[in-house]
Amino acid sequence: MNLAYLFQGFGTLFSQEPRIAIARVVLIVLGILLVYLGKKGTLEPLIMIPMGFGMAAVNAGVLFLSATKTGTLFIDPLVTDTNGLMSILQIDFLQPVYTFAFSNSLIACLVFMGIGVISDVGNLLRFPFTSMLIALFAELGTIVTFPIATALGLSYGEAAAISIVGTADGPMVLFSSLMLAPELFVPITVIAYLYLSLTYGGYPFLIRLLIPKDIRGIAVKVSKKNDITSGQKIAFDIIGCVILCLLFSVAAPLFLSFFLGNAIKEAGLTKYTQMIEDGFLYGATFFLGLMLGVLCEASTIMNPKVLILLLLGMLALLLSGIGGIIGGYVVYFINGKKFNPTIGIAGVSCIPSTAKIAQHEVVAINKRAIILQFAMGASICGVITSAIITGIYITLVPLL
Amino acid sequence: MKEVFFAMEVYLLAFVISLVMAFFIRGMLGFTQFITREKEIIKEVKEERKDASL
Repeated sequence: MNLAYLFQGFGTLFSQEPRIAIARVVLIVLGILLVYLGKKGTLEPLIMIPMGFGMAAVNAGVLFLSATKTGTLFIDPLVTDTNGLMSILQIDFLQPVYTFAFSNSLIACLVFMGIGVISDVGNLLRFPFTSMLIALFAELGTIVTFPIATALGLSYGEAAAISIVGTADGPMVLFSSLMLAPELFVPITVIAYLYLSLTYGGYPFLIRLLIPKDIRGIAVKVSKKNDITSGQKIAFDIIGCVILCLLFSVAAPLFLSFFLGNAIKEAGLTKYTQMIEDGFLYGATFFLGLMLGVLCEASTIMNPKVLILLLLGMLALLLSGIGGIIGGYVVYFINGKKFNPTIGIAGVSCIPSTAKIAQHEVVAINKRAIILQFAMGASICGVITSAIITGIYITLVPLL
Repeated sequence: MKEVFFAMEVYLLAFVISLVMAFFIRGMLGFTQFITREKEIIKEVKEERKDASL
C-alpha cells in the first residue's frame, strides 16, 4: 500500500517543491494562529476565524489530481477558460461563491451596503467642513504610499491597490485590488484585513504618542440646533450617489451599495434594514473571511512581492493615522483650541472602530467629554473620501 | 517624480470634490431649512387669519 496516496495531504508535502511544502506548513500554522488570535479577541474574530480555518484547511487538504498535478477541492482561482471553469464549478465546492460573488466584487458591495445601513450621515451633515477636512488629512497614507510603492518596483496598479490599504476600509481594498492588481489581490486583501485588525490595537498608542493629555481631554461643545431630518439624509444619499456615480463610474457599485444601504435605513424600511444588517452584512463577512483563507494556498500566494506589500500596508495605515491626527490639530487651531484633535483618528474610515477608539481615549482622560458625534461624522466622511480616492485611482491609473 | 505629481493630482482632485460636497451639503441644508421656515410662516399666517375671522 502506498501511504502517500492513502494520506494525500501528507503525501503531497513530500512530492511538491520543498519551498511550497514549507510554505504550506507555515500557512497551516498561521491559520491556526489566526483562529487563536480571533478567539482571544486580539484580531477581528468575524473575519479571522473563518479565514484561519480556510487557510489551514486549504493548505492541509492538497491532493493528487493526476500523476503529476496537485490541487484542492476548495477553489481554483487561476482557471481562465470557460470549459475549464464549467468543470471546476461542478467539482470545487467554493468555486461558485468565488466566481459568482467574489471575483465580481459582489461580496465587497454587500459588506459596503451593510456599512451604509449601520452609518448615520446625520453627523456628517451637521459638521460637513470639519468632517471633510479631517477625512482628507486621514488619507495621507493612501496618497504618500503610492510613489513609495512604485519606487520599490511595484507596477502602478499594484502600487495604487496597496496604497488603498491606507483607507482602512476592507471592502474598498478588495474592490480596488480586483480592479487594479488582480494577480495580487489575495495577498493585498489578506494583508489589509490582518493590519486592520492589528491597527485598532495600535492606534490608541499613536494617539497617546502624538496628543498630550491636557489636549486629549478637551470637551467639544455640541449644538443641538439644526437637527437633521431623515428626508434631508435621504436627499443627500440620492444626490451624493448620483453625483459620485457620474464622476467615477468605475466605482459606481460601491457608491450605490453604501448610499442605498443608508437610504434604506433612513426611510425606515425595517425589514430591509434587518435583512441587510443581519443577513447580507454577516453572510458576506463570513464568506469574505472564508474565501480569503482558502485563497491563501501556498502555490498561489507565493510571490516575492508579498514582503514589500507587508511593509507598504503597514506604512499606509500608519501614515493615515498620523494624517488624521494632523487634521485634528488643524481643526483644533482653526477653532481657537476648542476642538479635540483626538477626533482626527476617526477620519481613518473604518466605521465605527476608529470613532470608538477616539471616544475611548478621550473618556480615559476626561469622563465628561463626549466626542462621538464629531468622530462618527469624520468616520463617515472618511468612507466617502476613501471611495472618491479609490474611484480616482481606478479611473486614472490605467491611463498612466 | 511623475508618480509624486500623480499622487498630488489625485489628492487635489479628491480635495476639490470633497469641498464641493461639503458646500453642497451646507446649501442643501440651508435650502431645506428655508423651505421649512417658509412653510411654518405660511401656517402661522393662516392660523392668524383664522383667529381674526373668528
